[in-house]
Amino acid sequence: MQQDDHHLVKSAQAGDRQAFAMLVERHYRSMFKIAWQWCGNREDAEDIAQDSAIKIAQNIRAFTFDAAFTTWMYRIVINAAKDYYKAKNRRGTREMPLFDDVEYISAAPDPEQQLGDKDVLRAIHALPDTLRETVVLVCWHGMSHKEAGQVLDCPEGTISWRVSEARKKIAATLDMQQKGKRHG
Amino acid sequence: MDDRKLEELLSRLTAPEPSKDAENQALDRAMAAFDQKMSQTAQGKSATQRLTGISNILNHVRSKIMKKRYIVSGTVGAVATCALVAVLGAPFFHQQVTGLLGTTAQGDVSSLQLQNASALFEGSAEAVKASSATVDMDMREESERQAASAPMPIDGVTMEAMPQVAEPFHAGRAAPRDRAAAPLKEEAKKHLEMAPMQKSIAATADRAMPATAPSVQRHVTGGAELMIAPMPSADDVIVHHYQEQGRDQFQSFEENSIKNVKAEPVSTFSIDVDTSSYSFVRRALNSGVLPQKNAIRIEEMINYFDYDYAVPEQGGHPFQPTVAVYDSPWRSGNKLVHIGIKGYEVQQKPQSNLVFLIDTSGSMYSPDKLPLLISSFKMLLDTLSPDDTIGIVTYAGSSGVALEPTKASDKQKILSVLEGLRASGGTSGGEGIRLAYQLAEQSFVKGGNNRIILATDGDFNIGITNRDELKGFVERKRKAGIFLSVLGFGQGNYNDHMMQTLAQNGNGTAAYIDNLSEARKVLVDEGSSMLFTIAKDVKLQVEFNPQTVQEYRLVGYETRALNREDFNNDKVDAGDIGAGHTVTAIYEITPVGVAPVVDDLRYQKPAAKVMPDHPVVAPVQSDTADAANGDEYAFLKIRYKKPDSDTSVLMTRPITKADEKAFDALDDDIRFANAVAGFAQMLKGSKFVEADYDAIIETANQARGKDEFGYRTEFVSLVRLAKTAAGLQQQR
Repeated sequence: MQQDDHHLVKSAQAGDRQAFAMLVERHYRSMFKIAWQWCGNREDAEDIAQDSAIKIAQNIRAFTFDAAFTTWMYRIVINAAKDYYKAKNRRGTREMPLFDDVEYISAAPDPEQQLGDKDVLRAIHALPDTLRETVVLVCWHGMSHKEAGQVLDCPEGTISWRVSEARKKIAATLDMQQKGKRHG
Repeated sequence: MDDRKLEELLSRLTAPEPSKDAENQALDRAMAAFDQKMSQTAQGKSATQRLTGISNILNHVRSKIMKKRYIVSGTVGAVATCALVAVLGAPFFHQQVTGLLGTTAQGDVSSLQLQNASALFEGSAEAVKASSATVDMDMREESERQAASAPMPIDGVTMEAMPQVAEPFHAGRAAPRDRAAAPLKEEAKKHLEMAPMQKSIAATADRAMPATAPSVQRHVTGGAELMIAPMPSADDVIVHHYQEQGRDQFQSFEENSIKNVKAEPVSTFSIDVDTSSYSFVRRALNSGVLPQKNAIRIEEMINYFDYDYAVPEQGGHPFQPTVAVYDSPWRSGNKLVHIGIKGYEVQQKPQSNLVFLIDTSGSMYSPDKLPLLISSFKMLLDTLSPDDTIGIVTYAGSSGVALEPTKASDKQKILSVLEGLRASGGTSGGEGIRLAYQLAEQSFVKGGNNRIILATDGDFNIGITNRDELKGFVERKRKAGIFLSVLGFGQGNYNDHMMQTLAQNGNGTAAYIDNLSEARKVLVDEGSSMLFTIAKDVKLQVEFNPQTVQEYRLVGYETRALNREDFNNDKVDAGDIGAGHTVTAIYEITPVGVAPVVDDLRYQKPAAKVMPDHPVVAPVQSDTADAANGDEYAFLKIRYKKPDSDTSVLMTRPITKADEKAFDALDDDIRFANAVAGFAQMLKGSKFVEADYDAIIETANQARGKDEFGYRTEFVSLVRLAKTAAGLQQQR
């Protein structure tokens, strides 16, 4: 008997451990995925996913069913990711490798193509936070502008604007790199 | 970058799989955070009420400790097994620790405080350095800074030092994956020589866990953050039984002590026809662990079995006492006084108006809960007469009437509602109870059997959550002639205390259903005793004769003790007896002439003393027997009310030397009850009974009688299980 999120959240809010465990188990992968898309390396993403799961435990009672549980959850993940890097930057730890562990759905393209893909990912990673999170949710995770708006707590129009801004910036970055390579 | 190109590219790139360890750990941590959160906002119960006994202290300390992280500085590698050993013992120590950690939770942990804590650990027991641990204060960055600097040791104390007071809670996935580990991986490699040991402990713990029960694992490892890795010795590799545990709630109570007849000649208690304790014990033993001591109510274990006591002619009293006196197998020279009563069987069943109040909350989502409950009710349905009515109220996040009172003849309709029940949502038991009473009042049958049958795991956490408030409500409704029976399901989160409170105050019985055959026993085979109350507020009072008896001890009934003056007070509620119910009470007495267990007082006159908290009550009838009755051991008085009456009726009977019999000459039933009483006391860790499982098995085997349903045979196998489990861990 598969229970939907709504019921599981309700039970968990009432103190049902099993329901809560099911909920976290069900969504751990998605949390990890978003976190990885955001930060670009697995270890950090695992930490962020863990932090998110803990935050969900701590705040589950505060969830009011205004939006889908997943929407609320994604917001927690994005915030956990930002908090994580704030703390990390304060500590001044060394940079983690970016998107080294990316996997290809279909057969891996030739090495040159792979490098090109990495360039795009790095360009995304170099975006300011607001654009980066928008690209991750909309372009990569496939979220609608409306839902992304709910997650990021801003109007749908803002999301649309951010997406187009991000595209421009990514294109510009890639352009610069191309030029650099040509002249370099 | 054009619109589609970016999406296309990204759609080809996917995230790697997170490691299983990381996922497990995240789940463990989340569960720990969840538990902590829920315990902070305990629903209507204080933290101390949620759990009882040692587990309470353990959990309490654990949750306090969990506010801080403990990481091992030396081995922050892939297997950063945390080796903090918590010693939780005397309440004194508990307070010290929680006090300390309580303060640290607000601010930074100063090294001074840590040293204090360390001193405490050392001071409380023989200290052995298990591993040096660093206490991490302010999450990750602090832990990294600290781990890099000199570690601040807390000396752990091995569990062997205090085996009784603390149980190790191992965690299967014994590798807290603090990100402190990542930047320090290189450093950790230096400590690789430590790792194999840690790994072996973790592996042991993993093996000990049932691989087939991942969810159980998760629950157990809720406390994964605080793990115990004593120095591995040969003994370490044994037996850590994992089970969902710690959330079953039982009322804690002390075993009845020996009373001096001169000081306290009168013993008063309410009957208890519940049987839930036995089913719970059976379930624990069948899963290979000893049940927690508070789960054992000796009288319920004895009363689980049907005894063939004499039944009165119909029309007179609803039952009559069967009395036997025989030599105690528990202490030489002592005697046991066996008092048994059996209610008459109803020939013509009154019309029933039943309302099933069914918990459909998310916590009931488990094969041994809602599905078992539905099957149980289906069986009950088959035993009803066509004119009986059934209503169904469900309660979860919201309560609702699932079925308006419907004649049992319309079976299909009732079945389709039962089968359509699904578990989901929170538990609003209080609201559900109100609704169920409304429904029962709506189709009230005058002179009939008006009853609510509540089926739940007892987890009431929305609505009337306060036990006393709910109790008051049920009590008021009882006066309106509606009875309440309680069926308990499930384990791990079972609120026995609440169920008992409800059933006792609702003039009903509580039964614990752990499997389908138990459901058959309670609802079908003994359904009429569950359903038809023949006498209510049944109280027993026994006055011992100081000429013949020096000391006495009531076996069981600790939770049913009444004050002496309550006996004649009809306003004081007591247990009810259903058609065919049997109730047994056993006293162990030390006759005059045998060395007493308790010394006489030097400064007291040998005359009977009235205890200050037991004011003198006017003697009723002829219990002021003349002193010539040297062959009377005691005088038994029973009070009961007819189901529709508010005035009690008194029955009396002297217990004399004529009631004495040799053990082998006793009826099978009495000897069997004796075996159960002995076994129950052993499980409870009684100080009055030697643990001799083989003797119990022998007695029970000889006294098995007809045993039509095989319950007594099952008992014998449970004793065998307990014998093997006795060396194992107590269920928490």
